[in-house]
Amino acid sequence: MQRKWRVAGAALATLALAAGAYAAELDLSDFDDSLMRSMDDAVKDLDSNVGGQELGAAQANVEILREGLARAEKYFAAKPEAPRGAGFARESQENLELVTKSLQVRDFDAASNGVRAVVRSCKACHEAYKPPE
Amino acid sequence: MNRITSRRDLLIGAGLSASGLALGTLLPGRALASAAANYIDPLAPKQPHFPAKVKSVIWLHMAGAPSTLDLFDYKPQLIKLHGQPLPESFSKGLKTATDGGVGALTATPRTWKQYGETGAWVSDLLPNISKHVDHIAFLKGCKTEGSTHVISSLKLHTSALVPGRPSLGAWITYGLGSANPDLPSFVVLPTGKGGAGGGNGQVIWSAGFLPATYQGTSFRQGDSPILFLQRPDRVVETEQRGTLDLLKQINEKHAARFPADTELEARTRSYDLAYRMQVAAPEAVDLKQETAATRAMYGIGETPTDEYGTAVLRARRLVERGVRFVHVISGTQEDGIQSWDAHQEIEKNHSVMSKTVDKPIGALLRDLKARGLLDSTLVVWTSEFGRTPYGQTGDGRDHNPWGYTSWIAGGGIKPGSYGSTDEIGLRAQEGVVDTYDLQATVLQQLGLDHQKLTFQHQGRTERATTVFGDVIKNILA
Repeated sequence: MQRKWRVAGAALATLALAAGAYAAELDLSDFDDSLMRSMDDAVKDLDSNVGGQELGAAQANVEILREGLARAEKYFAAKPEAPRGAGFARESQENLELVTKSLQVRDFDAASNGVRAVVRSCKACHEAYKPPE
Repeated sequence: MNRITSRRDLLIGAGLSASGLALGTLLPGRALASAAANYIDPLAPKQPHFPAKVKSVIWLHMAGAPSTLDLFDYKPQLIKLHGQPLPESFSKGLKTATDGGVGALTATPRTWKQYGETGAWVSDLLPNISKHVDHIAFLKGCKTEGSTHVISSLKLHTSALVPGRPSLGAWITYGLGSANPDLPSFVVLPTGKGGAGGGNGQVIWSAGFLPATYQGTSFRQGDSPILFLQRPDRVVETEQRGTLDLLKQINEKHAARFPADTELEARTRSYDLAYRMQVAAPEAVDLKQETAATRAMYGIGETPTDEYGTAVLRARRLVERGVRFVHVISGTQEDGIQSWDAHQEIEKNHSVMSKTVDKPIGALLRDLKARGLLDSTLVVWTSEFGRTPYGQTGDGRDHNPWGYTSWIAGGGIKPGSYGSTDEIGLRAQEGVVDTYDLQATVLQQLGLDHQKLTFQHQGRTERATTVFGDVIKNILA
């Protein structure tokens, strides 16, 4: 699948403005911004792929997310000032496994539920730690 | 007229067939339309994904953002802390100030009482709605994103923070088609001097990337909600029909060259709809057909309820006639007050706004119930966000996207209170409901699975609730 790097303006704005919540004292500026953007694109593409029952594309986006979430978990594990970050990343990976297993048996309804579970844990992390733009 | 006379016509015809097929695949459930059809009526009734609980939605948009802390969310702790600075324990992690400082905590001066068997708290600002709490599911842990009316209003209605996505009413019309071909399926009824008030205009009832035919139709305020319903005196019906037929032929010829032009298709259909509406619409919006007692119940003929009561009663008449989604935007005729947006003088503002909407909404709930329509209609009371427990400019409250109340009444809804904000009403803490969840729940009650109602746009399978949204199962009967 061609990896999609386009700027998803509305999608990013959604994450950027997530409830206006932030921790002023928290500095996450060393987090790889392009990684987060590619994960943002990938999760929306994955949702689309699952809705369209595009198995190969969905699995490709799962891989992007798997790699990105593993890196996010590692990053937050070294950030004691954001203690829940690694847990959120881990939870997202666990939910992603549900998507993987559902795709293996071509159960796209279950995969769709799995994608929403991934999104929930991602959003929870953004609401806890995403700084205002 | 329809014979293929050239290679060019043949190619155009093939293109139309292909576009018809493509549209067919986008119907809910991805049903494939007849391969023989060149044209598929985008407003033809469609089967829902599962049996629907309701047929229609009356969406009561409280434009400008009321303080639900002064209406539904009773907070004794806020009264105790009145006048004190906002404790950090409550504000930690929130970007609080929008366009002013964070004032001291401000208790509501309202008097409160529990009503009905559900024991729902309602303030003295809403004496009529309070009589119907046993039909209402209060969502007391609502939250959203953004802190400006434009952004949050877009999110409430289109699930996006920038213009371009379809509104909920457009998705519903796309998903279910029209139940009455003589009326628009998605009607917008703005009230107040501010046009759409805090409703931010057409972008919140837009069809976005869906075909334009699914957009909301905004009715005018006042006694003539739809202009030019009467034929000019010197034009007879056959003359008018002939003119429209000629116009249709010309448009169809143009459309044949540009088969993907949904704007032209929507325009052509709007001419047909307008012709049919000359018969159906005057009757649908004519409130003189209601009894004097009904008009009085809605506050028609009185200040300040006349205009809003007129809109809400029209909403009832429209859903009675099969209109799927009626979006009523609150406003007032009072000088100096356009909406619920009370950064200053909240007492004056909310007194006027409450008096404007309370009696008509109470009447609507009573009327729907009496006519057996509440079982087939969903009434949603919501806003782009709420207001803060801390003060602003001395006698106002600021925007609060972190915690506020919305409510739903009607078919398949279990009354009661669901969720909560923290002790001072700043932030949703239990039963948290985002706007995506509200949209998913409305779609669910209409028989539409928000995960399966999709449309292909720019290579993506798009949904009304984007990648978010969970049906609020706790409030479903």
